[in-house]
Order: sequence, then structure tokens, then C-alpha cells
Amino acid sequence: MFLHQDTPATIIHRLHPFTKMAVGTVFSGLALCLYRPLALAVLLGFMLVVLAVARVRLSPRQWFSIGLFLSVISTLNFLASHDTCHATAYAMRFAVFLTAVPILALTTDPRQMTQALSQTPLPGGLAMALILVWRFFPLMAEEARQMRQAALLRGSAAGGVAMRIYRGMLVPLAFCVIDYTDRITLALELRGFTPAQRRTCHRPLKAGAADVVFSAAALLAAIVSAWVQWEGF
Amino acid sequence: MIRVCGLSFRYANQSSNALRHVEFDIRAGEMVLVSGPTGCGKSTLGLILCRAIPTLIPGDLAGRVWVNDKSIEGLSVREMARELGFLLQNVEHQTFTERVSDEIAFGLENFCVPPEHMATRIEESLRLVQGSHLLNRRLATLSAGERQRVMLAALLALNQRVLVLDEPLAYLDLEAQERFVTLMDRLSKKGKTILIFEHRRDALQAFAQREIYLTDGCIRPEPCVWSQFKKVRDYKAKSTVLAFEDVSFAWGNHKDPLFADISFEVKQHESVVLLGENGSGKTTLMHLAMGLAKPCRGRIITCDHEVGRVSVSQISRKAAYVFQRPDHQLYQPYVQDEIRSGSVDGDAVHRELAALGLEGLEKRHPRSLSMGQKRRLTLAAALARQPKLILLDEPSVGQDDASLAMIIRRLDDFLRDGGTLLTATHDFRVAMALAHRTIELKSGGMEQR
Repeated sequence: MFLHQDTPATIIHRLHPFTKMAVGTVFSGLALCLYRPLALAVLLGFMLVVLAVARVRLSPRQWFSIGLFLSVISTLNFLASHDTCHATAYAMRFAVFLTAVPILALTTDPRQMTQALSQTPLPGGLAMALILVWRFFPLMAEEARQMRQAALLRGSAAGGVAMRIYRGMLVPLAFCVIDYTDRITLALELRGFTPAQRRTCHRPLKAGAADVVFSAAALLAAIVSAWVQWEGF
Repeated sequence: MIRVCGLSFRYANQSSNALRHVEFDIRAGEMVLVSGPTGCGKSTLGLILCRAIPTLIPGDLAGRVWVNDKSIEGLSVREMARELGFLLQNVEHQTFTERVSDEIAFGLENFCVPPEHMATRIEESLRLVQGSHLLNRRLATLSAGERQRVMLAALLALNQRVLVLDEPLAYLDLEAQERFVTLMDRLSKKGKTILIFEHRRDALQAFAQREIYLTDGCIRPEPCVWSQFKKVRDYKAKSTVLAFEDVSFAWGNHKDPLFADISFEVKQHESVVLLGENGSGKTTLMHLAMGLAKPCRGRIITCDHEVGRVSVSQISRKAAYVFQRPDHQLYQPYVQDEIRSGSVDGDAVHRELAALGLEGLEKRHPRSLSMGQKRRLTLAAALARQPKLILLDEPSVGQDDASLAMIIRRLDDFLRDGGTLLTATHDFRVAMALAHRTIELKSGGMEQR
């Protein structure tokens, strides 16, 4: 197998999933209400600091794609509104949404998510289904990476671009999804998992001082952005 | 401990039986090897014992099975899991968590083991498989062999009285295989009943008290073990086809290199075998040779192309890479099309199919083949293109002795016709048969023999 090395867990990784969910949701909601670029910049700045602390590294290609996407959004908005400030705010709002998702997705492992969800009134089976979906995307991303490598090795022998995408990516990925579902169902049952049954917990989740500090910092950022929007400069 | 009476099974939509009137008894504390050629019904038997058949996989099941003196009829898979631990054949896609410790804890949590006992059981089970150093690793960063060890540890932590292991040696290096066999021997002496479904009869026959040999779904007298294969012939080595010059490689966010300043050459007509422990970087080295990964330092020349200066598809016109997992390389609707793609003619297709025991499967969908057949198909597709160099990653997984002999014979012809071969394997017999020379990756360096 082609391996990636371990990345160390940061303070953001150790936060309670609900803390991260709450901050992500509040910031996304607030971003919808704000319309001054500077106010949105405060929220975005906070999110970028969190991503940096969490050591979420983006490749130059990913930065380029995000930049391109936001440029297209703001350009289209400018063409419709002829208002630079509005177009900038629109793109920044998207940027806040885009940063809120990876903070939760890339710094929360499925076990933490299972435990957090098991503390809610959700049925056990539904919680497990959510976890498997949570795991499904990174696994499929890894499968897709290997399929891309196989496609690279085949080169033009695999036919035109459309055929390469269809036969080289879509068909194997579809088989992979079916295979994953079959295997995971069997593996879950073999390990004694029953959706409705009570389970013990290896490492119970607890909110700690870091959660309080993180929430307070997020609250401060939200207040500053609101002040900039409605009182400010 | 296990009693099987008149067991027959036919998969839904299949015309012939996968198992036919199978009968055997296994006593408590016995270690039994279940072997046989690919498609003989080993995995089917395992799936019946763990109740996946008929509860999850439909078909016509006849006969009776008792485990721990109780009939297993009517039990669900998870009820059966309390009595019998089952290690699935393929270690991919069987994990639910991110970290090794959490993965082992997952089963314990399902069995409602008190949290204060979990840490001890996790550490103890990892110690048994010599995997204590993996405790806090992320599963995504483990090699197939390391993952196999973790899954075995997860099974041992549950402490069932009966263990059924499907191809547990598949990805283990020689040292890990020896440790595994010794561990199983020790556990069986402590009273665990162990069934091992494995092609590698040579590695287990000396330890197993008994062997059940299946052919076409029936128990038959076991043939002799192939302890070695006919070695590929020596040819006069010519020009250099693959060269690594002071190559170092490290993962993006790691200071320590996986290997440093590696230099070696592989010449035309030569077959070199890459050896090394699980996770030592054999597959990564092959990725580097094809340009699928970038070295931190050094120069790699593959088939006269400097890697990094030309595209991967340009390199792959002259060199072929057969992956460890064949599924990613199969993309055509028919077996014959998989080999024919590119400029390969019909004769070459039939020649390769015959040489690798795939005759009669031309019209089958490649995904419907067994794992061993898929591996042979990806190799056939590579050979048919007549590349100058073939990089072959773990060719023996899922192959019975006869299939493996076919592969080695065909690779010998490839070398004779001017080909060059670099093979990564854990299978000692394959290494012995294929190696003109070996390169062992060890502690970030290499040793040539």
C-alpha cells in the first residue's frame, strides 16, 4: 500500500465534537447575516487561525482551486450587482462556509463522532450509519487516488477522456461502493455490533478547559465581527 | 468443538454447488489447516461457520454444524461472534475507527467489556502479535501487513474459544509469518480451537495437527506440499533498464526518511526481488520507479526516461506496474478486452490467457473473478503489452501452488524474451524462484544479495 505518515493530534483535534459543530454552525449562520467585508474578514480570520493551529495543510493546487472558485463567485456577483463591496462580501461568506466544514471533518475522528452522537437521542443504528458515511468519503477518496494512478499508467490505451472517466473511474468506484457496503456489514456483525444494544466506552468524551477557551475565543470573534458590522468603522 | 455433517451449499443464481457433502470433526485445542486451490470452497465454509451464510449471503444450504456442542442453526452473525472469532480474508475496508487502539476497543465495547479492563486487553493482544509499537498509529498509515496484525489483535482481544482465520498469512513478511504460526501453536496448546484457511500449506503444515483439503467443494486427500518452485533461468544481463541513484524519500510532514541514498540497477534479462518487513517501503519504491511519487533527492531512470522529466504515461509505455490490489487496474467489461486494450492482437490475448490459467474466462466480467484470477489477469494484461520492465507487487496473494507455478513459468519466458522484472514479495518461495538477485529494504537503507 502507498502510505501517508501519521499527523500529530493538535488541541483542535482534542476538542469535543459538539464544540466544533456549534462554532461552525454559529459562524455559518452569522456569515449569512453579515454583509460588510471587514466584518466577514474577522470571522474568516478566526477560522484560518483555527485551521493553522489544527495543522490542516492545503496543497498549492487546493489553494489555487479555492482561489479560482471564490474569484468566479465574486466576478459573477459583480457582473450582476456592479457593487465591488457586495461581490467581495459574497465571496468571503463562501470562504467562511468553506473553512467551517474542514475544521469539523478533518479534525474529528469517527470514534469521537460515534460517542458524541450516542449522547444524543438518535437511535444507535442511525448513529452508526452516520459514522460509516463519515468514514466512507476519505476511504473512497483513497480508492479514487489509486484509480487515478492506474488511469495514469494506462494513459491513452484506455481510450478517450470520456471513456477513461467512465470506465477508469466511475465503474470501478461503483463496484468499490458496493464492495465496501458488503464488507462493512459483515465486518460489523462479526465484531458483535448491534445497533440497538448498549455498549461500553473505551475513552469517554469530556468537554474540558480547551473547549471553554475555544468557545470564548470564538464568541469574542463573533462579537467583534458584529460590532464591525453594526457599530463600526 | 466443531462438528460439520453433510454440509452442502449453492450460491443463489449459481448452477453448481460451492460445497458438497462436507463432513469433519474438530476437537477443542486442535489447530487445523483448511487448504485447497482457488475457488475450492474454503471461504464459503468459513462464511457458513460464522453464519454469514445464510443470514447475509443467500443460497441453498443443507447439512448441520455444531460449535461448542451447540447447533448454530438460527443464530445471527453477531450471536455467533460470541462463540467464534472470524478474521476476514481482505483486511481492507474492515475498520471503523481512525486509530489502532480504538479499532481494537471497538469489539470490546460491543461485547460490553468494562472500560477499566480495556487498556490491558488492548495492550495484551497487540503484544501477542508483536504490534505494541502500533498502539497509537493511525490505521490509514499502516501497510497491509501491519493492518493484518492489528485485525488479528482485535480478534484476539475478544477471547473467543474458536478462531477461524481466512488467509492470515497473505500480507505478512517472513518474520511475521513465523511469529504468527508460533502464536497460533501456543494458543491451540492453551485450548483454543483454530481453523486456518490458507494457500500457504508449506508455512503451516508442520504446525497444524491436521489438514482438510478441499477441491471443487469436496474433501479430498491432500497432495504433496510444494515447498519450492522451479527457479527462473539465468540469462546474460545486458543494458540497465532501471536505475536508482542516491534516492531518498520521506513523507511530506516527516523529517525521518523512509529510505535514504538508495542506489541500485536492474538490467535487461534480470529478475530482482525486493524484500523487507511490512511498511519498509517496497511499494513506495515501485511508485517512485513509475513516477507516481517524487523522491526528496536523487535520480531515477526507468526504461531510458528520467522519472519526473517525462509523464507517467510515457514511462508506462515501456514499463508496466502490476498493483498489489488488482481491482483498481480492471476497467473493461470482459476479461479478453482487459488484455486486448492498446495494440495487443487476438493471438497475444489467447496466449496470455492460456499461460496464466484464465482460458474459458474470456467472456466473464473481470470483477466477477476470484482475487487470484484478478491478479493473474492484471499480470496477463501487462505481459501482453510486451513491456521492457514489469514491476510486480505481491504476486502470490490469493494464488494456489499450481497458479503460482504458472505465473513463475510465464515470467521466466518474459525474462528470456528480453524482459526485466522487479518483484516485491513476502512469499519466500516466490523470492527463491524469481530472484537472480535480492534487495532488502532495512532501517531506511538497503542490502543487495
